[in-house]
Amino acid sequence: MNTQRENISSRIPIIIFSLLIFLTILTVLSSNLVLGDAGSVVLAMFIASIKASLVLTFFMHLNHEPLIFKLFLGVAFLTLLSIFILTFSDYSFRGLA
Amino acid sequence: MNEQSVSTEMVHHHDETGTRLGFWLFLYTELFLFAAFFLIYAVYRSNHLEDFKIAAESLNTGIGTQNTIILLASSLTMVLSLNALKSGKVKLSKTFLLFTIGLGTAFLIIKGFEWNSKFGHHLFLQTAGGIAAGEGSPLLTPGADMLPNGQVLFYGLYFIMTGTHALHIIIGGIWMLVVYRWIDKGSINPDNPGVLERCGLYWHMVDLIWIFLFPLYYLVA
Repeated sequence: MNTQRENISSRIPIIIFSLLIFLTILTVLSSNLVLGDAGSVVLAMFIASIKASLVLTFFMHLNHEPLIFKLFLGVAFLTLLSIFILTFSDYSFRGLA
Repeated sequence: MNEQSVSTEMVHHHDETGTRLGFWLFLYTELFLFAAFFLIYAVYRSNHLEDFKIAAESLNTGIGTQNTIILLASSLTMVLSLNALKSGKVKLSKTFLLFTIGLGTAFLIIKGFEWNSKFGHHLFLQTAGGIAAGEGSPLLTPGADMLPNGQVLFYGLYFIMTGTHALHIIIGGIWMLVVYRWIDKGSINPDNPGVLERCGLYWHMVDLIWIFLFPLYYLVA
């Protein structure tokens, strides 16, 4: 049994956690800005996406995974995006014709 | 001799990367479950914008922020637990895992108080049977006191989405308790951390869902 182990640094997770907390505070504060509905939703989702990427990359270790893991993520993301775009391309134009 | 060692290896062969990839696939099915809710939320919100904003005003941003920070902290302790196990510090790993379970429980307790205050205002998830038996909320069932449709939809989605999320927290918590027991017994150890790793991936996924739930319910009022 291997008793001599490398010490995995906790520095990066703690930095990422601090960033996540900073972004949480930022998103709460920015919700008080008057940006109109579309603006505030877009800003909130933009910040949430940055937070999600940090969690995926560093907490879920996608940065250390083989390429196939990233391809899976890409496929899942594009599928979701298509479903949202297709749904809204329907709903947004209902009642116009 | 050489042949024998090869065949022994075959028997014990375990593809850690493949297992992890399979687990990621499972996580995507979870993601799509929530994506369906998010899609319904997005469509109804765009159709009932004012009602959604009025109803969202009733949610407490402070409580939501507090729970967000708790969940992010639990994700950190989960990473630290896995790192500790991989570094051979089994006791430290168990301590961080207990912290994670504790933070998950704190999240649920706060969520419980939040739901409870909504119940006090006659806002809850109702079943068709309950409504038929006269146990429906006057605010959410047809009648003189019923809220506008958009607000009824908002509260329905709020309970379904945060409820499904809370269910995942409970499942994650139970899983962590099982993993804790297995680390204790030694079947999960520095040479075999896979189960803790996948438990962590699940926990981060639950955190990921909350990262999007939080602004959509608590911030865009």
